[in-house]
Amino acid sequence: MQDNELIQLFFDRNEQAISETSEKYGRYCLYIADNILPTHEDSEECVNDAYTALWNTIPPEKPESLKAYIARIVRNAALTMLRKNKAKKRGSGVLEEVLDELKEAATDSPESITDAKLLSELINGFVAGLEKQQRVIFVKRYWYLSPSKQIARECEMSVSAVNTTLHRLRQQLKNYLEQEGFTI
Amino acid sequence: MNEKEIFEMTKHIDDQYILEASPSPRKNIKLKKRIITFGIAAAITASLSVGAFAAYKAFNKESVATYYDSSAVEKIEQKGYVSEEVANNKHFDLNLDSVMKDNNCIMAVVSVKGLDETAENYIAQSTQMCCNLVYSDNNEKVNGFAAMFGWQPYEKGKAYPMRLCVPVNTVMGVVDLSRPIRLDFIRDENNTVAVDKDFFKDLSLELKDIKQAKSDKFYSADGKMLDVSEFTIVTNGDWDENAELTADKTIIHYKDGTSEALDQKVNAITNNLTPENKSVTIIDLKTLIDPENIDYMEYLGVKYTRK
Repeated sequence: MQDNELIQLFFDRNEQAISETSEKYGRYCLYIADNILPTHEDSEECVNDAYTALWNTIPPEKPESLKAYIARIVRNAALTMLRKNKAKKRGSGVLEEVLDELKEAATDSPESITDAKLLSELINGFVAGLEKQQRVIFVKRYWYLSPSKQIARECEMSVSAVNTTLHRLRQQLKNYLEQEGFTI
Repeated sequence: MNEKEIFEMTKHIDDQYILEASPSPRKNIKLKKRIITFGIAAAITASLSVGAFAAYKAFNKESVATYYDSSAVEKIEQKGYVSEEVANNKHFDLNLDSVMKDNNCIMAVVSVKGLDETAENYIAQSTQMCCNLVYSDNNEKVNGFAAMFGWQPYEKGKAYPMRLCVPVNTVMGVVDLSRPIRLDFIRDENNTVAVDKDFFKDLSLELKDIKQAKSDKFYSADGKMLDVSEFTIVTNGDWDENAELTADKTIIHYKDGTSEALDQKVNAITNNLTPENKSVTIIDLKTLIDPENIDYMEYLGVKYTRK
């Protein structure tokens, strides 16, 4: 079923929309949630929550890309669940890993940006300037939170090559942020 | 800006980059064991083999040289791992430049040319082509998948060489290589270039009469096996599925006393699940080797000999 037909089912308040979405994007949603959450049961719960959120937000929302829209919902839901789990000391550790890596890209600026438009321009300016393969690796690691081994398999590279690329990308990101004025 | 703020910033990454980096089920991705359905998208039934209309075309060395070293390109021509199969519709022109098979996969190089701006934009965006696989003798769906993509930047106006891999033993099933296979091209759902519904109509490529590459099996003292063909080295499925994918310390020792390190002669290293849910590593070489001349192999520092 095409995405526009799926979205129409949501607009028609037809419950088939959920089953069709699950059939088309269920595996993709679990892929995202599995990267973030410690157990598959958590992922399934998270994805079900995402379907509910989809039902509650379309309409009025009419996303251009249903796949990207549901991906964002699943990622947010998984991160929220992870933070709750962490409070119960049941985290997966992936967030800590990623934050630890991103320390390399941190700058000394005391400024904190909250303007979503500016943040969007900043990060998309950075990724748009990357070669495609670098960009895919960056987004897989820091948006999908995929482990290096998984990225290596998906990109047909060795794990060490992925790690080296990620290290260089963090340095590039740091330089980019500094050039954009995020330094003392 | 600290690491938490940088991480928060990633949530603003554009849809197009999220889609670009999303996993493609048709790529050679290792599947998690619990995800075994791995469905292929809806089959396109309309197909047209245009091989019958193919005029003689010269061997496209330049395209094949994208993925193989110069000695391999010569061997590919000499051994007849070349093809005259072509496919086209009003948007695309596809040329099968080389194709060979071993016990584990079909490996080919296909030149793809966009014939209009939309097709060029389509290729440039995802640098991959998706397809369904069918046995062309009776249109039966193949229990397998194909991955066809290129990593190099796409240059408009030029034919774009892509590497095609059809693994034989996957969690989806076993591909019967004794039967002719047809690739029916379909839209890549991650590609956001707007195309009409007939964009891939009649775009089908036949894989038939593929020559079998030579291969031989080598064993370690503890019973592990390497299946070594002219263009791949494949583990036997008894490996730790989390082992790092590497060709480091992969050395061929030839019968004439010479040796050849392969770590810099690799196109890709991938990991697949077999129908038995075992993990195998496929080292896809960018050179062609002769298994018959091998005395013994070293892989990850371990010696492998014939039984």
